[in-house]
Amino acid sequence: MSIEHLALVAWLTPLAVAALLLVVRPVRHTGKPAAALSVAGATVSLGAAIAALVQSSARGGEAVALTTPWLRRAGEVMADVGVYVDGTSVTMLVVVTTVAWAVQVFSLSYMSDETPQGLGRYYAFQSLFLFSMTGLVLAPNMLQFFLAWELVGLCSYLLIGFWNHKPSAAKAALKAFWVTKLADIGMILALLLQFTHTGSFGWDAHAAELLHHAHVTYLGMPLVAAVALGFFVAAMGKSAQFPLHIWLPDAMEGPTPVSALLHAATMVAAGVYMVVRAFPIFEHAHGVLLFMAILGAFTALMAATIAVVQTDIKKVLAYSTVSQLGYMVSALGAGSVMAGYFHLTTHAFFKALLFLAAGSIIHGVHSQELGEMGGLLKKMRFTSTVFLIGTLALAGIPVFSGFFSKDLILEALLHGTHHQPLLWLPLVMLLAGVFLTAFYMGRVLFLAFLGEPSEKVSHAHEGGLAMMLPLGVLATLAVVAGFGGSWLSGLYGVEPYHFAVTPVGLVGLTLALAGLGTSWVAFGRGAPAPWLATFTPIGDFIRAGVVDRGFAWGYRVALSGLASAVAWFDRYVIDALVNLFGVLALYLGDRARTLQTGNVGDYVYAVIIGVVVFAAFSQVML
Amino acid sequence: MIGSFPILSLIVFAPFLAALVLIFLPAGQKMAIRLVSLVGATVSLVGSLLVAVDFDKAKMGFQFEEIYPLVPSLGIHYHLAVDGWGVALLLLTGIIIFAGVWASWSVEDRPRDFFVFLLVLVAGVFGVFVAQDFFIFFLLYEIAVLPMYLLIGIWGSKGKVEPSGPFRVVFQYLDVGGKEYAAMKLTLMLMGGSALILAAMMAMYWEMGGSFSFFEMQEHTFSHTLQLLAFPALWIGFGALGGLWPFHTWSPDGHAAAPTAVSMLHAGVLMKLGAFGVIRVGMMLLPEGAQYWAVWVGSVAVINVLYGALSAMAQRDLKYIVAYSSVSHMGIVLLGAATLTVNGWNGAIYQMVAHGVMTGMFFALVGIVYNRSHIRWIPDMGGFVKVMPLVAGFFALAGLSSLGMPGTAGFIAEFLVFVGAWEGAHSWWAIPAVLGAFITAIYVLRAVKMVFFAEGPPERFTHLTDATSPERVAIWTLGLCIVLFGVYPGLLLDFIDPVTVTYLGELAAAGVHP
Repeated sequence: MSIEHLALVAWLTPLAVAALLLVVRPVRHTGKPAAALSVAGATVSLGAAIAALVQSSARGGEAVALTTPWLRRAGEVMADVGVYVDGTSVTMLVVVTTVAWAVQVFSLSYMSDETPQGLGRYYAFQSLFLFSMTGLVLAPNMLQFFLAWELVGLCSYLLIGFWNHKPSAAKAALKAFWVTKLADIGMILALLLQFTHTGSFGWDAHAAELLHHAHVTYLGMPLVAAVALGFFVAAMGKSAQFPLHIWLPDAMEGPTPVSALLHAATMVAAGVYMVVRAFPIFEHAHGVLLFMAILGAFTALMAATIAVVQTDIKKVLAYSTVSQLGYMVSALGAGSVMAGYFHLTTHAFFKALLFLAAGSIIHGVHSQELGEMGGLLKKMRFTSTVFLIGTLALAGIPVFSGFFSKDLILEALLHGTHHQPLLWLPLVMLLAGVFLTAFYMGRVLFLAFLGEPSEKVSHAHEGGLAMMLPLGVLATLAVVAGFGGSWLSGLYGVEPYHFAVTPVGLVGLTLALAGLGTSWVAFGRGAPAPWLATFTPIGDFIRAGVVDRGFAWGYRVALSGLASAVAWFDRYVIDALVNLFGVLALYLGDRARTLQTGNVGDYVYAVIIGVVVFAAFSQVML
Repeated sequence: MIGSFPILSLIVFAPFLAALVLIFLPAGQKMAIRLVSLVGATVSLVGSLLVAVDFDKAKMGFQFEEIYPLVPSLGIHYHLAVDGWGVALLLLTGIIIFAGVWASWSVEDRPRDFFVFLLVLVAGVFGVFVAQDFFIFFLLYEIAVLPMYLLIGIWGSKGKVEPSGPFRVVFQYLDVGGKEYAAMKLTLMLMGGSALILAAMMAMYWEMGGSFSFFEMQEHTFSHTLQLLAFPALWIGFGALGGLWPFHTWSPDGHAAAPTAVSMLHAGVLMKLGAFGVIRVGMMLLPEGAQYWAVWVGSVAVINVLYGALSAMAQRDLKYIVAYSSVSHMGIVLLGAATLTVNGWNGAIYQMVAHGVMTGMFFALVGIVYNRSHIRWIPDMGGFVKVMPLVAGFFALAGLSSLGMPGTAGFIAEFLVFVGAWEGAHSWWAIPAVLGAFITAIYVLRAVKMVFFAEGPPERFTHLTDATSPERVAIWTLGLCIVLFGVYPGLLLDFIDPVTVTYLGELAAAGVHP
């Protein structure tokens, strides 16, 4: 099969499964067979993706497309749908399908307590997500990208709220949807701008040229910058950049495998992928790029700070995801597609690994609180090992994948300072983030795995093959993915990448080791050291959630207040006028009724007066 | 295939004939009554599908024309014909009445009279979309509007309106929220609109020298004064039925009080008559008036979108939420119309279909919930997904369409209107429209959460049952359409787009530009 047909298979197989499971209720309600069907679909999808990658790699990532017209205007095609496969999309396709496959297999065991109906629904949503996400990755233009973008948002809503009987889950699902939907306004406006001025929804160099040469400005920005900004605002929502990051930690209400797939590895990276994909457009918008570099670095540092004080293992990982996405955004802002995209790839593997390992722990311990863990090393050897691998990768320790990509990000920022001195600011923030990342991951590692097993931990055990196989696969990838850098750079067609030891890399490594070391001093005995109590006020401040409260105020007071005011106006002003007319008509009718006296004499007078008036009128007028 | 068979007359008269048959059936024969109604609705639906299949998209202009002189001395002709827009709207009407009959399967209170009025009403709706003679158009328009008074007044239900402060006495006196109040208000406000239409119609008839023919009016250029005066009359007159702010207040009370199938038809197709009238009669026949007033039409439409959405957000009665959302979504139709661009008009017609199917689904589902629980007050609900999962799923689907989720019909419609608005003379119209879509996401999903998710259901609702088989037919039909029109826009756009291009070409020839 040709590359584009393989991509089509990878995209549409999950759709077929999802449609079957969603529409045919008896099939969905079988539970386990429905799950098996979904996993089979994911396996086919993964196989096709790998085959496409192999073929595409042989051709050096040459772009091929297979599209069909979708939307027309005045007989002309406005936009196509289909698949577009090049080095960039085919790599992402493999990353997405790999993690999705691992998560679906893992869920077989993790979700085994669900009712058959629940399990069927879960896998229907999983398949729908895989279809939507692959559709996003393979999108030939920004319009299909947007369609898929909204659909993955929908899947996120459905899966966060999977346990919708829990009020907290239903609320978190809403929050995630609303925050990302708010950000999507940026994307809609950008699409409108782009289409109106260039007649295209493209993201390639040609489309970027059209935008660049349009002599229009919006709010003082050239068109291309306005479009790039609109796209980036949407990315800020999906990829959880400050201040729109608030939905991601709450999204941990969903089942843990969902957090691994959507809210760590793939969906939240869609914003980063969008910038990579549409980089020809972003390239022309220097102001937007600088904004990205600084905002990403700020997000990275801020989220890392919050991660330090979380007590829920999933929350630590969630803030860590926000932080790492900040690294990617910052790297792209510094102008290095390779650095941002490389980190996206390695992060997908090691963060999915960490989440699934956390899922394995939660499955064993029945708790997410770090305080209730401890001593897991003795009970769950395998999980401990893979969690260690994930931690080292995330902390950026050599030979593990995260080291290489993080190193490249730091280099990209440093390189950027040559022509934009302001980039020193994000560079310093990112370096501080490196220390904090190693520190908070060390904290999780030591608190969960060292020390004496607690009551809950003493019953913990590994979750069986369905859990261990995906963990093993992801752990392997978390180790080796870092060595694929130069191959990837060839496939993307960006500046060639070779690993080299640099001063900034050494600084980063030192900070990472220092972070782990500090963490060892503080938590090495499996419990917080007493002197940490000094920092309690700072921790309380970080946990206060200022941004969250701001949004809550905007929703509860500002927007709801406006809505109530409008509804009041409708009921008591506009409708009151309607009622007034009604009452007036009743009243006048009541008065007019008195004319009808029933006295024949009155009527005769009326007729005579009428005739006289009419005759006089016609004489005058005609 | 169809040849010279008067298919349009068949579509229009099938429900009417079914209603005639019903009159002679014994009132107790419930199953016979339902079946006859279903046959009437199905014949119209199948007829509409046949028209769609047999319609020659390559050929411009009107097809399946039927013309007989009715009152030649007054220039009144029975003249039916259909273009691409008409095909789309016939399909919508056919789908809604088909689903509506299934959704009313369990009407127990005087079902015969109920179905008679319902079918007469829908015959009028079908007629309006194909009538090419203003007199016939107006006659059928009135036939579509009037049965509503009885349908709401007899079969309606009372909502919960909590008046505050000094208004309490007035509200109790008027019985605001009551079904008689709602029926009276709806009828009187729409009659007021009709009076304006009638005045404009007579003025146009006069200037034509005694012809009601749309075709002839299309050729004629009306005097400048008449255009400027008649257009706002038609805009407000038809607009009142289309939910035009500030003449929309019949809609929340009316839709909330109406029984299920009536809300479905009224919000699903009748409101479209209003918007269709604004475009087909107002803008097409009075292009200079349209040009002059377009900025007002669009600006008020923008108010509609935001005002309806914000009002919906403050409601706690499920039916009021859906009703206000209709006000908001009909604003999208009028906004698309006001842009005078191809995308805007395509989007406007698409939104008529998309909103029709979506809101029909909403009212069907709300009716199912209300039939079983006898409440519409959202804070008293919760966790209903456990007892009615199917209803919950389809409610979410309708909600997604209303907030413009890709893959549903609502997305195509809203996106086209946004693009059209941005391309038009007043790009800023698009921004409040986009914001309106965001607010829709807030109130729709919050309603989904409060009704179906979270804790619950309360003790007294644990025995509720999911949709029955007839109700399932209704919601599956509508659900399928929502997805189909969302995934494959060409299905409808291929009908709509050529007509839009032709019409806008004619407007451009008359000197009207976006």
